[in-house]
Amino acid sequence: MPSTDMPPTEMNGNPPPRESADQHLDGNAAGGVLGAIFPFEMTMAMATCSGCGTTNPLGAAMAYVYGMGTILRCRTCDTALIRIAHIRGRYYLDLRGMQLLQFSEETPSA
Amino acid sequence: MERAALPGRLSWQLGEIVTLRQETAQAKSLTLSVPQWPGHRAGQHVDVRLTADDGYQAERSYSIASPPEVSEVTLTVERIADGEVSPYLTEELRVGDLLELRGPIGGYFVWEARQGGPLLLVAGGSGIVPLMAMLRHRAAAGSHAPARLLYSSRTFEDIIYREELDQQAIADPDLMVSHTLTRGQPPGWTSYSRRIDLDLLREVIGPPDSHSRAYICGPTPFVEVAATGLLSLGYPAERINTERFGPTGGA
Repeated sequence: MPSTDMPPTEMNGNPPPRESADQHLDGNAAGGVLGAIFPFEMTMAMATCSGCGTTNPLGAAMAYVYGMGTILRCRTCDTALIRIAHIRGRYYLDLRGMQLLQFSEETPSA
Repeated sequence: MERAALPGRLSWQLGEIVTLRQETAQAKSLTLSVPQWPGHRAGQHVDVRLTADDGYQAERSYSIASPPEVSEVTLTVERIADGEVSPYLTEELRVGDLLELRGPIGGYFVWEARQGGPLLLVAGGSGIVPLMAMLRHRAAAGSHAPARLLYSSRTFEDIIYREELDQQAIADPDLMVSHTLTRGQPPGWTSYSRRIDLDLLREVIGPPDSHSRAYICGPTPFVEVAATGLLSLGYPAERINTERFGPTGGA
C-alpha cells in the first residue's frame, strides 16, 4: 500500500492544516472518491468495523483526505475502515478494517 | 419510494458558468449549467477540480447552495487568502468559463421536505451554504416544517444571504433565524455577539422533540462545539448531522 503522508486537505477551499492533530472531516467528504469507484450511494453504506464490531454508515465515519488518498476511520475505535489511494490511474483499496460492507442497489430518487 | 436506475459511478463533468454573484466581500456564488446533471438533494456537495497548465491538479469540495427545484447548480465559495482553489474561483472565473466538477455527493448530510421537522440548523461562516440549500428547498416545496437557524458570522458584512434570510424569516412564521456576530457588531445591534456556546444553543435551538433533526456545518472547531452542545441538550447522536469544513478559524 503506497504511503499517504501528505497533509490532509479540506472542504471549501481551506488550506491544509499545519499540525496533524485530529483534523478529520465527516464521512461525506469521501463520497466523491467512493462514488467514483462504486456505482452506488456509498455514504449510506453500512460498514461493520473489524476493530470493535459496531456497524455504522460510512457517512458517519471520520474522513482523512490527503492529496493521493483518503482514509475512513471508525468513530468508535479509530480503526481504519477503508484506505483508498488513487495514483497514476490505479486505485488501491485496503478494506481490512471492515468485516462487512452492505449497501442498497436503490438510490433514493432526487 | 421510486426505484431509480443505477446512478453509475461519479465522473468528472464540465459545467459552464452562467451567473456570478458577489454575496459578500469574501463570498461569491457561481451558477453553473451542467448538461448531464442528474439532480441533487439539499445538503449535498460537489468536488471541483482545477488543472494547471503543467498538469498539476487541485480538488476541493463545495456545498451546493441551490435547491433541488432549480436545474442549474449554484456553489457559494468563500475566498481563502492562501487557498489553492478559492482565489481562482472567486476572482478569475468569468461567465462562459468551464469548470470541472463531480457530483452530487453525500447522501448522509441531506434534508428533504418530506422528512418534516423540527429542522434545526447551525451554521458557522460559509457553513451556511448547504443549510441555505435546505431552507431554499423548504420554501420551494411549500413546507411548514418548523425550522430554526443559528448563524454565526464574523461581522454583519460577512453574513452570506443576509437579505434572503431576512425575507424568508419575515414571510414564514415557522422559520426563525438568529444571528451571532463574533468579531464586531454594527451600531444598534440587538442580536447575539459571541461565539456559540451551550447557552446560545439552548436559547436559540432549544431542546429536541422526538422528530427533531439537526444539521451543523462550518469549520471543525465550530462544529465540535455545536455538536457537543446539542448532545448536552439531549439531541440523540443519530439526529445530529455534521459537515466539518476543516480546522480554519472561520466565524
